Formats: sequence, C-alpha cells, structure tokens
Amino acid sequence: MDKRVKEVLLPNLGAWVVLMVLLGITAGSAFIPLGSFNTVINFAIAALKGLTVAIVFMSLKRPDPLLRLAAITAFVFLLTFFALTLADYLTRGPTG
Amino acid sequence: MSDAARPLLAMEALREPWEELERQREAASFGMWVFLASELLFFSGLFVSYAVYRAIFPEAMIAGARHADFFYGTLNTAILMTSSLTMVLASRGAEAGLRRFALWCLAATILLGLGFVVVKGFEYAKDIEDHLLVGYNYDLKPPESVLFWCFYWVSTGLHAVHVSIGIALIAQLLIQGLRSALPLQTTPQLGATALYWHLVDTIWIFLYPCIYLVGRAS
Amino acid sequence: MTESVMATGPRVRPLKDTYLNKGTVASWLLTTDHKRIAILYMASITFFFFIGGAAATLFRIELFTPQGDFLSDDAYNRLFTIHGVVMVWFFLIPAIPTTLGNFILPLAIGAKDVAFPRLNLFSWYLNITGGVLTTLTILLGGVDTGWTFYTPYSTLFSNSYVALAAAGVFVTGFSTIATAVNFITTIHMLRAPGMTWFRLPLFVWSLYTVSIIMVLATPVLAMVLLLIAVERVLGVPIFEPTRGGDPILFQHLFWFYSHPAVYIMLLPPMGVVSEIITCFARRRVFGYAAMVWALAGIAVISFFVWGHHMFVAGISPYSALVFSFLSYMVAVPSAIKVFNWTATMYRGQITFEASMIYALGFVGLFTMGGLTGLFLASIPIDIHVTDTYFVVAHFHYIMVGGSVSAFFGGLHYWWPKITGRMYPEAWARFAAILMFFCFNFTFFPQFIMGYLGMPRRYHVYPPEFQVYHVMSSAGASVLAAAYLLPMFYLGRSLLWGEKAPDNPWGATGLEWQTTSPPPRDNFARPLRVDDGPYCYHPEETGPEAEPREPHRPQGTYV
Repeated sequence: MDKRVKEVLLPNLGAWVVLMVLLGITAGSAFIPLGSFNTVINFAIAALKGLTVAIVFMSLKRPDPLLRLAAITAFVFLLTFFALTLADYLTRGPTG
Repeated sequence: MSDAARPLLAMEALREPWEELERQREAASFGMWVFLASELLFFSGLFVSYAVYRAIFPEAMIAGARHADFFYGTLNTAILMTSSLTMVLASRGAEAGLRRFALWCLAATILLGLGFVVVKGFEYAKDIEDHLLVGYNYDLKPPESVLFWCFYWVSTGLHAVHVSIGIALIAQLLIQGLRSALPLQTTPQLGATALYWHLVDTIWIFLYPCIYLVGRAS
Repeated sequence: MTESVMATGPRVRPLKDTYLNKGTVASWLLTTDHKRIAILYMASITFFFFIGGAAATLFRIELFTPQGDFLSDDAYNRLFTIHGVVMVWFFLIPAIPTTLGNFILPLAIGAKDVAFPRLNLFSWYLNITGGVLTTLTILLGGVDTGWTFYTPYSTLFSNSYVALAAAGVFVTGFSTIATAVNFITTIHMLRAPGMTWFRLPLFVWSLYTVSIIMVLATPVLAMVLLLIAVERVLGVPIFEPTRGGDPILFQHLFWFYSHPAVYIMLLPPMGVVSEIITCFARRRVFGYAAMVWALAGIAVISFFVWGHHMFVAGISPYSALVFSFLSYMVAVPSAIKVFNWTATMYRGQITFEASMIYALGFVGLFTMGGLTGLFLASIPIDIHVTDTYFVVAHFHYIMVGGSVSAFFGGLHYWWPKITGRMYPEAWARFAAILMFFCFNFTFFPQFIMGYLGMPRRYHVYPPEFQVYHVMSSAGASVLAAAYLLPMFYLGRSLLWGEKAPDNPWGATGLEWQTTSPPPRDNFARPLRVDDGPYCYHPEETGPEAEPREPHRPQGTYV
C-alpha cells in the first residue's frame, strides 16, 4: 500500500476501532442492571467518544489554541445552561 | 494534474479578502468551528429539556424509552461513526495529495450517510406502526411518557435534516472534485465540510444514550 | 503616530473612485462589499424601525384615556406584540452590528473586507427573508402573545399567526449567527500587521464580544421557537401542562437566549460611545484594559442571569436567590464602564458635537436604566414591580435611551466617512437635545406609575394613572418628531451636504486614515500599526495649540 495512504489511514482507523469498542461497551453495559450507574457510564462513554472524534478527527490537537478555545467556550456555556436550569428543577418543593 | 496547472487551480480557490490560500483555509476551519459552537448550543435546548423531564418524570421517561428500537439505534451509531472515519480519511487524504483515495472516501461517506437515513426511515415506519407518533396516534401509558417521544421525534428529525444537509455538501464536493473543478488538496471547503459532518456524528453520539440505552436493564 | 491628530481640510475625492460608484441595482443587491452590505442593512432596519414605531404610536394614542376606546382588546395585544418583535429582532439586534459594524470593522482593523464576504451578503438575505415572513404575519393580522411567546397561550390558545411569526424570527436568528461568525473570524485573522489585540479600538472589542454572545445564545432561541411551532402545528406537546409538559421550561429556554440578547443590544452601543467620547474629549480612554475586560465580563456573566425574568413564574426560591446574586454581579462591569467614560472626560478638551451629545445622553440614560435594573434584581422589589410599567421604563431607558441614542451618535460620527458628506451640525444638535428631553418626558413617568401599580400590557386602566400616561404619550409624540428629524437633514445632506474631508473630527482610528467615502478596497496602500488606540496626545505632552475655543479658567467669572 502507498506509504501516504498508510500514514493517513492508520491513526484514524485506530480511532475508529476505539469508537467501536466504546460503542460495544456502552451498548452491552446498558443491559446490566446497575441502577443509575448505567446512565453515568453511558454518558461518560459518550463523552469519551465525542472527545475522540473531536481530538483525532477534528484536529483539536493543532498547536494553535484557537480551535480549542472555540470548543471549550461552547462547552462551558452548555454546562452552565444545564447547571442553572436543573438547579431550578432539582430544588423545587413537593408540588413543583 | 500537471504541476503547472496546480497553482492556477489553487488561485481559483483563493477569494477576496484573503491573500494566501493557507490563511483562507485556516479561516474556513475556524469559522466552521465557531458555527459548530452555535450548532452545539442549538441542540442543547433539546438536551436540557430531556434532562429536565428525566429529572421530574423519571419513571415515565424510562417507560417511554423502552419502546425505542435498540437494534436500529445501535446500527445507526455504528454507521455514522464509520462515516466519520471515511470523511476524515477523505479530508486527510486530499491534503496528502491522494486525490483518487479522497474521492473514494467521499463516495463512501455519502453511501454511509444515505444508509443512516434509510435505516432511520425503517425505524420511523416501525415507530409509527407501534403508535409512537406524537400528535398523530400516540397511545403509550403512562401519559407523561409522551415527553420522551416528543424529544425523540424532534431531535432525531432535526438530526436527520442535518445529516441530509451534510450529504448534500459532501456530494457537491464529490461532483466538483470528479470534474476537477475544485482542487481538493487546497480547497477550504473540504475541511469545513468534514468538520460539519463530524459534529453531526457527535450530536448522534450523545443522542444515542439518551434515546436507546434507557431502561434496558430492568 | 507621534504627532497629535488634527482635523484635515477638505480633500474631495471623485465619487467614481469610491465604493459608491457603479450604481446598478444588481451591483448593490449582489455585492460582497461590506460597505454596501452595511447600506443595505441600513435600509432594512430603517424600514422596520418605522413599523415598530407605528405600532407604538397607535397604542400610545390608545393609552391617552383610561378606557379602551381607540383600539379593541385584541388589536392592542397585537400591536404591543408587533412593537416588541420588530423592535427587538429587526431593529435593535441588527442595528449597530450590521450597519456601523459591517461598515467600520474592516476599516478599523486595516482589512480589505470581512472574512467571508459572500456569507455577509447571505446574512442580509436571511434577514430580509425573516423580515418578509414577519411582515406577512402583520399583514395577515399579527400575533398577540407578546414578544415573549409564553406557553401555553402561544401554543394552545392564541388565535393568531404564532408559527409564522416564530418562523420569521427563526430565520433572522440565523442571519445574526452568520454575521457573528464573520466578525469573530475577521477580528481573529484579518488584523493589519501591528494591530495586536490590546491595540484594538473598543468598538472592535465590542463587536467581538457581542459576536460571541450572538453565536452562543441565538441558537437556543432558534430551538425554542422551533419547539413552539412544532407544538402548535404538529401537536407535539412539549410544554403542554395537561400532558406533563412544563411551561416554565419554555421560559428557561426562552430567557437563556433573551437575557444575553439584551446585552447583544447593549455592547455595540457601548463600543460606539467609547469611540465618540475619546474623540470629543480629546483623550485616550481611561483604563483601556478594564474596559476590555468589562466587555468580556458582561458577555460572560450575561449568560448566568436569565432566571431574574422568572422570579414570580414558579421557579424554586433557591435558584431565584442564585439568579438574583448573579444579576447583581453583571452590573459591576457595566458600572466600571460608566466610571471609565466619566474619567475619560475629566480634564479633557470637551466639545459638544451632535454625536457627543448622543454619547453623553447614553451615559446618563443607561446609568438610570442600569440602576433600576438593580432594583429589579432584588427579589422582594421585583415581586412588587414585575409586570408593571417599572420594568417597561427600565428596559426602555437602556434600549432606547441607551442603545438608540448611541446608534444615532455613531451614525452622526461616521456619517462623513460613510457618505462623504457633512450634516448640518446645528440641526443635529437640536435633534439630539430634543431626543434627550422627550425621551425622559416619555419614560420617566412610567417608573412612577409602575411603582404605583400600573400593569404592563394593559390598555384599560384605573383613572389615577391617566396623568402619567398622558405625559408619556405626549412625550412620545414629540420623541417621534425627534427621531424623524435626522432622517430629513441626513437625507438632505446626501445631495446638498458639504463634502467631507478624510478626518473631519480629527479622530484616531484606522478608518479615518482613508478617504471619505473609502475606495472599494478600503485603503490605498497596506497599513502598519505602531501605536495603541486613542493616541490623542503623545506621551508626556499636553495638547497642541489648535484653533479651538479656549477653556475658561476655573474659578473665574467672565
């Protein structure tokens, strides 16, 4: 195989294998009764998959920090959206 | 492509106000990232609603989620993640000068994308048959479980729209690349489209546990 | 530059060498020149300002009397809704960023155009499409839910064109996002050599920070409008209480966008005011770094305070406390900016051109609006005055007294650059002062009657409030004249105004280093920046002697 093809193929194929393995774990673990821990595992694995795509496929590893800045900013505001909204719902009284 | 032709074609991709193609490509990627940040926040409204309803109606949401089709969902996740692989191979391959390889990978991405949409079509047909179409024939109990299915139809519908837009963008790249009208190695459009496709995949990566992995163990 | 900046004499440039040449309709409607796109936007926002203003005129006429005699209940509801929808999304949010921002940003950083010129044109067309949908809504009979579209009224009970209005705003939202992506990329990647981040003029910083808010907040609005349209049209009961949906969830999603939205309407005016005050006080801005961090701080904290619109909606008292605390915090960077503008003027050589009058008006009126916002951030006070005219007065002081004043100030400040013409200064000063007084006459009584209990969005009210409503409506009538006046003399100046020199105000900033109006590619030769902004006097020296009126010595009576 052309050397250039191998250079392009291998790191990305590796990431794909990681994604598939994670998919297997998350799909499989969903059938094991672990209570609310199931949800934690599933979203943790989703986060890992997302990070894999972002870092390997979307070049977040690039030396200049510009892209990471954009990604982290979006993520921080996403978190505050969740946190402050759930802060309302999780602290309501019995009739809320 | 001869060496003499390549700089000419490269210049066609260069636009005002940019003076260097490399800088324009960086700008296209950065601009697309900024847009992706907005796309992330676009879907966030749905995810927040999902989180809220799971917090206040846990049982009803789980009851609703049990009717989601695990097989179709998992298959589609595998398809979409593989399409992300083929997309990045097209993008990196084009950068490395592997034009034929890149074109094949673009074609593969389109096929996988279409496959996703087809599987989704089958899944939707089954959901409608199972009386899960909100606003039409929904009749699951408990009644608050409808909130899960509201989330399902809006989020997967919207996601499918984004998949379709992505397929159209990639098809445009493929057609113009085949006609050599677009220099795949240097055009800013390829990197930007690839980023968009990866976001579409990432959204699905988070939709998957929300929809298909809930209430499976009990 | 090491010499102090002086106003240049008239050096007239033939029109054919500027961006205004080639007047075919196609060359304007298919342009990718940021300057022409700015003019296109100016036309559309003026059109929408008239529509929103017309709605206000009609309901202020109704409010002269306590009975409902001029308008039906339904018509009144539709009018205040259209006033809000059009003024917020089709006037205030686009106003400064798409007109002054589009025109001045590339000039101010020394670039030839924005990063994505075709996307810029597409933004305008998206705006127009949204505008067409909204205008269609109005022509078909309008929408009566209030600009806030609260559920379940908007989704289940309203007999008006909710989905169509939502569609119009949805499309325009993407225009905003596209403009923001363009501005962020432009500022990151197209600055002239030597133009480092901390040498950027504050107007550029304000456009950068506002673009960040636009990119992150507007999509949430798009989603929530989509959800209410889907609920209304397809029967998907996301917010329907009888099926488990939570109407307060709508409010959370809506205000997550709409609170940062008010800062979208505020940051660019703050940037404009920084430019004007430094120029007409002939001083560099006091505390440049603090001003930058204040803009960033406002942008960030604005995302954390949305719950203060929901204190009486039924959110938990604990989250209300958190939102109240954070709302107090967001006032701090705004206050820093007001202190710094004031300090900038101290010991300056102040002159009162029309734009300076508008900018000073902004500082005063914004301060009043901002302080009353602090009252509203306090939960006990808010419970008393929420949904009264107190809130209406609060946001009009900021949006109209603040943002609109700054918009007019910026329009006058950059008018010579944009059009190559000078406007008549006497008329402009008169209009600015008239606007300031009429504005206060219109909106100050609203604070009082709101505190006394006059609810908002009511057109039938107890007779004891009539005196305030009459003052308010009377003020509004003359205020309308004050807004129309600039359109006459600015319009007249296009044909008969004195030709403008490159730098009529003697201002710093790269936009003044090119001709008025600029050529298509902005600058005749590539620029290099060596100094920070607002270098009105070189270090360690005082101002040079200039043919200006001398200051009267302090403490003497002449």
